[in-house]
Amino acid sequence: MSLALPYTRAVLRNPNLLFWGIAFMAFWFVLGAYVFSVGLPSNRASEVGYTAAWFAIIALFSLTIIAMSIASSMTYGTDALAFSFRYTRLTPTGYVLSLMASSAAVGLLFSFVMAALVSGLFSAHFGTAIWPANLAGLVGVSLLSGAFMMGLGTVLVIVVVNYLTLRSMSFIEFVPLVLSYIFGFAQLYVALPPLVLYLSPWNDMESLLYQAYRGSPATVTLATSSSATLSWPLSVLGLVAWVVVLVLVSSALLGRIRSVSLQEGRQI
Amino acid sequence: MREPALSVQELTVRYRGSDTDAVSGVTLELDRDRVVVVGPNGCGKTTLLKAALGLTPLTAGSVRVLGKDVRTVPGELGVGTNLADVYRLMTVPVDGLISLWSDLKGGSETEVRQWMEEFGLRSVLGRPLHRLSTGQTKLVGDLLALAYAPRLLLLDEPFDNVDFGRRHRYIELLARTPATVVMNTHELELLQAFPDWGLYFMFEGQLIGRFRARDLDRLFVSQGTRQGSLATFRTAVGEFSVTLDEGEVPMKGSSNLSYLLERVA
Repeated sequence: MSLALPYTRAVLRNPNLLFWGIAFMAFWFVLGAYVFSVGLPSNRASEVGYTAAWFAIIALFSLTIIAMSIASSMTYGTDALAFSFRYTRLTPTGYVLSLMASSAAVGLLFSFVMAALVSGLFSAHFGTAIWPANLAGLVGVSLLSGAFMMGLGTVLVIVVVNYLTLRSMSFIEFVPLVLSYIFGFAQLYVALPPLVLYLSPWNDMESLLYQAYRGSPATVTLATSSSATLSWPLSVLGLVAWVVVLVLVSSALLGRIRSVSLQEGRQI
Repeated sequence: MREPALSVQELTVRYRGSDTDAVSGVTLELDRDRVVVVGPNGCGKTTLLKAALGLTPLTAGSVRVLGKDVRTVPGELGVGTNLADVYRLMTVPVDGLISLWSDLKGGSETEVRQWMEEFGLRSVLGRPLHRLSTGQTKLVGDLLALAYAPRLLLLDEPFDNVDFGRRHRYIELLARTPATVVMNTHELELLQAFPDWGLYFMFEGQLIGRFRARDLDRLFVSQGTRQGSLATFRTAVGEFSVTLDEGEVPMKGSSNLSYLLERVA
């Protein structure tokens, strides 16, 4: 039994998600390829590094949007969840894993769409083919990232539903995206301590997405190729640890989910 | 020893921010039994049902469903309800909802699909619940509640916005189920379809009974405490007694239960 398939179908039919997760990101790629690339040294290493960095950060934002979209839909079904965990075969862990599988599958699809867009636009602009170097790595990090984002979204939603008021949802649901921006841009320009980069799931994802596209390890500061390189096994370990913790926490909290009326979420 | 299908002990529910109890000190034990709970809008019928399902926090008291504490019951498949919100796990067409629910309940889709045909609901299969009319949504919930062989069935106003023909057919289905049933309604006229069922009234969160549905014509409400009364209860407007065959105001004579007690008082 799995909700993953119907959830995936429902997500892929959501025009809002397709707009914000793909079309809006394509807009940023156009800017990255044709506007922000002005002044970039004209050599292949710079162009590949620049392209990989754009891919890593925009794919990170896209993955965040998918997960938050699925997670926030949970607030529309608190009665259904509370009932299902008591009176059907659905378990909190089964539910979380189904959603994670769905988010991971959609994340994989979106990552490949991002990779295709980046490859096309940046290759056309630089006049040289810049393809993702490690497709297997891209599959792995996309799946893991989708699972992480879903776990995080689930925990945040349950915290809001069970311990805060639904009105705070409109603020809380942006937290993952805000953190994606903060950590994502920080790694582009700031030399964060490596320990922070390994412990921060956003930087684990960004480093791995970068490495999958470029084919060489991410650096502490992505915009500075001369900075120290990061260890991809440690990044994978950091991300896997986060996914496991989120599965455990969200499964434990979901079993006690409170049934709330959506009217509680009204802002005015 | 077999535990009752539904055991509610001294249940009180008070919503956050409210200064009155939605359900007040209700005790109810049912097993292989069918009862209808009649009361005006806002008297606490739905809250009682939601508390019995574990969808509303209990302020005091306890609820056991098929022998298990409702706060911690895990994966008990023998409970059905028609509350539409419990079927809104995700946005899927009714067709997908039936498949999903059959999977979650571990049951066959055949019966519920056959009922959908019988009730003329084939046209709604391609639409999600939020695109159905109120009556269609109610019927889908009613049918999903009855499916998968429930042992305990909790129905909230199952005939609201349902046309006469389909009401009649659903009454036939209800008559055949071996489940313990609690059915809420505010329509006294419906009781003649369930003469063998137990009957409770609900006023201001209190459950009053038990009576027999077939005796509705013989029940009266009077102010104060009366000798030989079947039940007494206290509300904001005073104390009342329910008696058989004599009293101040016939229960059935009041088309609107909201005004019944005011008439008596």
